[in-house]
Amino acid sequence: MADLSIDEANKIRLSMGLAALPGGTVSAAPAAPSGLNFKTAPDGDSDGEPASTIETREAAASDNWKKLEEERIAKERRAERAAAIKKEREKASRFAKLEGRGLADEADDVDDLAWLKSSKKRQKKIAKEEQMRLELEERERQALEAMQYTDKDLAGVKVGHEVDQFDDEDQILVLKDTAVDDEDDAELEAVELREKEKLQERLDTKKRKRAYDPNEMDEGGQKSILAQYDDEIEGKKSKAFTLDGMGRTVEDAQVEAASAAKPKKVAISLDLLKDDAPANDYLDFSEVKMKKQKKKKSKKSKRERVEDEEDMVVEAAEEPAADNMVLDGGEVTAPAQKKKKVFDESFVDDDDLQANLAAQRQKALKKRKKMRPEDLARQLREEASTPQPDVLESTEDGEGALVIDETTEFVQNLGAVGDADEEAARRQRRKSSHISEGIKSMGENPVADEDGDIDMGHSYAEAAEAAEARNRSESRARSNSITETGLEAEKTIDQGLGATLALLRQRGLVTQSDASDKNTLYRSRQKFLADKIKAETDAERQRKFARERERTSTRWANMTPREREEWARKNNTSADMQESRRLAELFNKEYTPNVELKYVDEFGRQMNAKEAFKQLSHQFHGKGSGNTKTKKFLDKVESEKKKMAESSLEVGRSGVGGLGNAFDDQARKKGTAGVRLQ
Amino acid sequence: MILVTINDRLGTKTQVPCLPSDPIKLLKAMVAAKIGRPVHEIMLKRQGERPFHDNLTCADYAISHGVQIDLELNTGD
Repeated sequence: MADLSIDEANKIRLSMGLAALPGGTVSAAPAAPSGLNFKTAPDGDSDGEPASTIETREAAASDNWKKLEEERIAKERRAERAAAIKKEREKASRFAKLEGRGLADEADDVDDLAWLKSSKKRQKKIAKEEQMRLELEERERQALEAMQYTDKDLAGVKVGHEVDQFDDEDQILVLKDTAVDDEDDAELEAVELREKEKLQERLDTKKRKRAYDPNEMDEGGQKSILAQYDDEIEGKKSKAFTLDGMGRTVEDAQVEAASAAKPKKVAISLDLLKDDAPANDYLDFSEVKMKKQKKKKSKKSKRERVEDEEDMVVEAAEEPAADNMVLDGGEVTAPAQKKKKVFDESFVDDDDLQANLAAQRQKALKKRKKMRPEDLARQLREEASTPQPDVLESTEDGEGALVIDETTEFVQNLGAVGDADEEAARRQRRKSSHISEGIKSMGENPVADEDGDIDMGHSYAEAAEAAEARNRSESRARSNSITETGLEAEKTIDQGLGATLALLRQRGLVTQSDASDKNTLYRSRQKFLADKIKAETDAERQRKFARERERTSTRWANMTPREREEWARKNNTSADMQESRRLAELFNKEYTPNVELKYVDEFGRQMNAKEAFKQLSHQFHGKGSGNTKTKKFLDKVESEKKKMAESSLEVGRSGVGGLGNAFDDQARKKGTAGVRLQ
Repeated sequence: MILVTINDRLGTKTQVPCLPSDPIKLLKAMVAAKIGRPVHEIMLKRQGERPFHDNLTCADYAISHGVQIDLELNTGD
């Protein structure tokens, strides 16, 4: 129940002027006689329409509820009354009197004697009926027996399957479906087996069958000619057997009879043929006598090597090449001779020819290689004594001058570019050999062999020092005089401006320009400037002079200050005009402008028009080249710098410079194809 | 007569008997009598809806028997 008791609630309600709640203890609620407090339906709806407002709906709801309640009660009452009636009826029927005749009523009213007399007759009658029934049964049974159908009845009936097909399962045979007027006997067939056969047949037809199969045999193990047409000619072979009613088939019986009729065959053993069977092809291991071979290991190994063709060839090739060489392993010459012979003998077919050729090639190669070190050493020694003997040639006039034409230059260039490191290596070698000689002269052990290899026992520092000293002296000598190549040495900057210019010219950094033109241009310009200044000062002086003359005149004295001012202004303007006219004349006559657009980039390089445009474009668009292009450009700048720094006579890392390129440059400068050195 | 449950979701819960035709004013008065808070501080509302007006009846707000109504503190704004 509510936390707020109804009494309290009613108190509040009454204080607010509302009706009290029903169910309070106070009898202040006379308006609620029952538990439910329904609104009373008004006499008539105000607007004539039923249930149009909430009020009317609520009133109607109460009416409806009342109606429903009444109906329910009435129904209950009816059901109660019906139950009572039914009960009454049952009760009445239970106690109702049974009518009709009973067993006792049915019996005849005969006396006991008569019943006894008739009882015998009655017994007879019963016995007779019994007998009749037995007889009937017997007859029926016999008829049934006569009707029975056994396997004997099936004698002579054909079955459309093979006996083998009935394995272990029970099969139900039915009469084959044939035409009514067919003369053939009835044939039995098992539906299941027939289905299986049909399926098999269909599968067979699906299989691709070769028309001609020489290996095919039919069931009898014999071949028939053109067996594939057998079915078409003779019709399908149907397999069937006939029952004989004895639990066997007729065919079995026939076969048995036939076999009985045939004479008995004599069994002949074929064992007598076995006697002269061929003996085993292989020797029996017991008969074999093993001979223990003596070990000849060394010989065998040699033999093997001979058999190994390639090896043999190589060695054979090697032999004539290295006559003076000491053979390793200390082998005697006899096996070598033998090898040679084998080599000659084996010269039979194409493979051998190929091998031989290969060997010869190898031989040639080896020979060349062998020749190399001594020759090289000799060559080097010669080179050391006479510088560039191979380049020097005597000309026709016999002046002892070196003529370098296109061919030699080309060859030189090839050497310079291709064999740069080789040359360096050679130089190094030469140096080392010098060192070794120096050391020898100092009375120590000889350390370098013919190839110029240094004994590693000596310190690197020593060698390096010696080399450096040598280098220094060489370079000094070269700077002062003509170098060993026969070319004039480069100028150095320490000799003055002229020398520097010469150096730059030699390196091709400064081109020979039209200096005289430039000079005249410069002079004329200077002259023009001087003339101009002179003219200006002249004009100024004249103006001054004129003004002074004016001021001394009488007219000037008579004039008012204002007039004077006016006068002076007029004079000034006229003088200005005159002067400017004269200057303009001068300009027209003498001034020739010399316009030179020079663009310099951030590295201080002179830019050509294309580069300048590119830079301008980059500035305009606010973005420069990408990474790759920038790197390329920087590389270019770097290489240019390097090139500038390089001596024109030495081969730099960049591949430019060097003697050949110096010739090139010289030739380019002079506009001839060759350079003549005296 | 219906019973209306008033709950402020903070531990105060009470049941008040009234009629569907009663104004909310009366409901508030009864709640005030029960919980001891002046009428003008009481705000009744369904959860998630606007507060009830005093002059409308319970029936107007479809308050029937067993309905639970939220009680909140009316601060005047």
